[in-house]
Amino acid sequence: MINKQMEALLPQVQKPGRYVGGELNSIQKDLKNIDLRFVFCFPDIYEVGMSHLGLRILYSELNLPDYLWCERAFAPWTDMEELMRETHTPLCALESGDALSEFDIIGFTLQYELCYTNVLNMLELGGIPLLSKDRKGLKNLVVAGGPCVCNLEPIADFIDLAFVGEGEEVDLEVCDLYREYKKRGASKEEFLEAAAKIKGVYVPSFYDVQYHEDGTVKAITPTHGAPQKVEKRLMLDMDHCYFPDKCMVPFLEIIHDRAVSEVFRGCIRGCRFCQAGFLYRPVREKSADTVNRQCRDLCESTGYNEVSLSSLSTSDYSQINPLLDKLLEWTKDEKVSISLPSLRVDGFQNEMMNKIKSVRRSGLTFAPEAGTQRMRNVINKNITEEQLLKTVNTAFSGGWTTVKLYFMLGLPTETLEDVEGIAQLAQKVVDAFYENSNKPKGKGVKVTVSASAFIPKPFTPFQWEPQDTMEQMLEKQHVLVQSVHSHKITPNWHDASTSLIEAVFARGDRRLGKALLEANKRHMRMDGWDHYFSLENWLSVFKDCGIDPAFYANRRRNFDEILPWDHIDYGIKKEFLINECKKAYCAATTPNCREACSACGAARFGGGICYEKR
Amino acid sequence: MRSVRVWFQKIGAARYISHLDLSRCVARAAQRAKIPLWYTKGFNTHAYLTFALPLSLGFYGLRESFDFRIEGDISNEEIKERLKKALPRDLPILDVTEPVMKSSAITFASYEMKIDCDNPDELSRQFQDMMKKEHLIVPKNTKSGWIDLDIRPEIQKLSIKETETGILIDVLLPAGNQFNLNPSLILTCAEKEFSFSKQAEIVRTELYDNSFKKFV
Repeated sequence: MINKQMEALLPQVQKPGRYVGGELNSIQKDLKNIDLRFVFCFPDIYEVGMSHLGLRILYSELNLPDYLWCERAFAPWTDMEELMRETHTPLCALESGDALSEFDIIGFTLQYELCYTNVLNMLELGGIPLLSKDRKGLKNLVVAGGPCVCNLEPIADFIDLAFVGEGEEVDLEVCDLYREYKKRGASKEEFLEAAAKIKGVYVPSFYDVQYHEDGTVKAITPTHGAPQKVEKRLMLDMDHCYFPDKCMVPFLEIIHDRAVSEVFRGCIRGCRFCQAGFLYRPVREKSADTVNRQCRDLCESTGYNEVSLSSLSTSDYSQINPLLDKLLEWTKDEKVSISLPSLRVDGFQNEMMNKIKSVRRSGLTFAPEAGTQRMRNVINKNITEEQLLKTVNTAFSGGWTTVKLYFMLGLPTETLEDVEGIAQLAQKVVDAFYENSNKPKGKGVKVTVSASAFIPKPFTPFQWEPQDTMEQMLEKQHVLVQSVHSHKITPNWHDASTSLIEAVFARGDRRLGKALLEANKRHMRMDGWDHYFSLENWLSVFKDCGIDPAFYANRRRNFDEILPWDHIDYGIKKEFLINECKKAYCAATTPNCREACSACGAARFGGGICYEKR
Repeated sequence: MRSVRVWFQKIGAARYISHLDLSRCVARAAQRAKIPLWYTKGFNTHAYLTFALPLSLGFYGLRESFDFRIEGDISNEEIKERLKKALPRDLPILDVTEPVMKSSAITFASYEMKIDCDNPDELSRQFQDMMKKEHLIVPKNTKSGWIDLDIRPEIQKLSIKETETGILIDVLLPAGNQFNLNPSLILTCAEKEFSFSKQAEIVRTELYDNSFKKFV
């Protein structure tokens, strides 16, 4: 429901459809039956937020109880934001059109670090005090979830409570508790003390952090009876885990405009740079029947004609071929195409290719991540050049002519030879095309090389590693471009300056809260958008706050240093990560979870691949 | 294969859906409703779907229509019931009929413009005075750039009613793919003539052919 104030602004902005709601399968409830109002905030614009599977799952799930109404809010684009500020129009939820300040719980999903300024901006636009300590009452409780919660410290001053791990169960438990405490008129502190006893709940204000003189963490001390370590929550039985049979269908074209079904959580691989690969351990699969049923329900309830099988590495799904067979039984007649994102180089087989091809052809993307075998062993990518060439040959014989290859620059131990190796590998792909006798006739090949900057992340074996400085990064980008000798290869690279800021916040501590507050005062937001991101502004904020970004991004940390996120527990033992890091230095690989168990610690959750027969 | 014309309204949140998005939304609804659409036989097969006349963003449409082609045995009544269930509440279905006129026959459209104000008498008089002029020149953006357009001769009919909360303007304007005049140009003109600065709720009520017969 659009409120009058907002409606007056709509004719003056681009894409007013972002602000009106009313989508198919969005949920309206009668306020008089509601005990708890929850607003799920996505700190980016509508088109990005609505593409997020987690939002769709949790929105439907939080609306299951009759007493609870979960609505949505997104960051307004800057044209709308300007008008809202001019006319003092508060940020509203789409369903009721009520301002954020009307809500009991304001929940943010933190998907990546550069959204932190948007979180603050949305709170400000919603008329909510930014700092947790300035929000005295139980109303307007600000909560957070998502992968960035693994190191919430930089934004901890602004968040009252966070969910560590997967939200499906714990979100509802916290809402039930809130409802009970609200009914009896309890204080915010009473509620938080009780909530901190729920497994998977992190209340940042209940932890005191002290620092050494050199700036490293000296101690993290729990107070108010909060646990020493906050252990993550996870869903073990994926077949019985909640999944919506109806999902919202936006009017606007969004980024990922298709039905999405999750085939498994976690990843067997253990690539050493990949945070998701460690945060979501152990691998837990859905059965092919469940995925097939969910895909069909989704297509029927949404009318989408494309379904995407989502996971961290879909070709590692043990039931992929049986699943595709089941899907093809109905997708062909209903003109639904299947897309498989996240294919591995070694997982792309002829059989699978023929199955996807039968409906519609999309581009092919692979991620070798590094150009030389040594480098790929360092990051434990476990694929070889032969595998890549075999795969692209299969693709070329099957009629594909465009291939996109993802790489990272600035990986630990990387030399300029490794960088040149990226261009050489791309060249070999081009050569393979011309040597392939079954290649599509009369067509040229196009290889896009996309190089992003390595960002060391918490809970990975590289969490102690320094990030390359801007100078090193620029040199490597230059070397990469210089090493490309064919116009069939298009090199792209990611701006190194956003990677620096992302690195600072990824492994930052609570002292960065000051910088976020200052950035908000200077009206910095939409950092994920190149047009609005400004390295100069960030460096000036850090300077004025007495913060050295290099301390967080470019410093090698000792294995025995207390890390700002050491009180959060994702089930992976620190010794395992240290051992993996040491193995990386001598380019030794570790087998994947399906081949052998490497005793990372995730087995203690009592399920998933750790208990499968090998 | 036969063509059907679906009559619907565009109200509430759906008013802010652009023409392209609306087209996608209807195609998906038809898929959900399992209507046996006829698909083009091209490389990228898609359903054949055309709208009689696109509606400006933010306008209400009380009698809008789109055509699609269907294959197989299904009654208009059945299509209507299925589509009703499949479309969001702000796109209600009125009827499903055989198309009689071609959409290129559309020549005029009638609109209602509702303007809230404190002194309806004065505002009504201001609009009436404006309409007495022989020429009303407004800048209009066309394919070949901005031109100065005299809209006065194009306004077929205009009447003003005073209501409790403001005024209601009824207007008949040229519409269709030959020459289309957006009713908001009258407000642009009022801005120039007497510094009018209010927002109007604009409703397209009906489409007509060149002899003022209702588009069917």
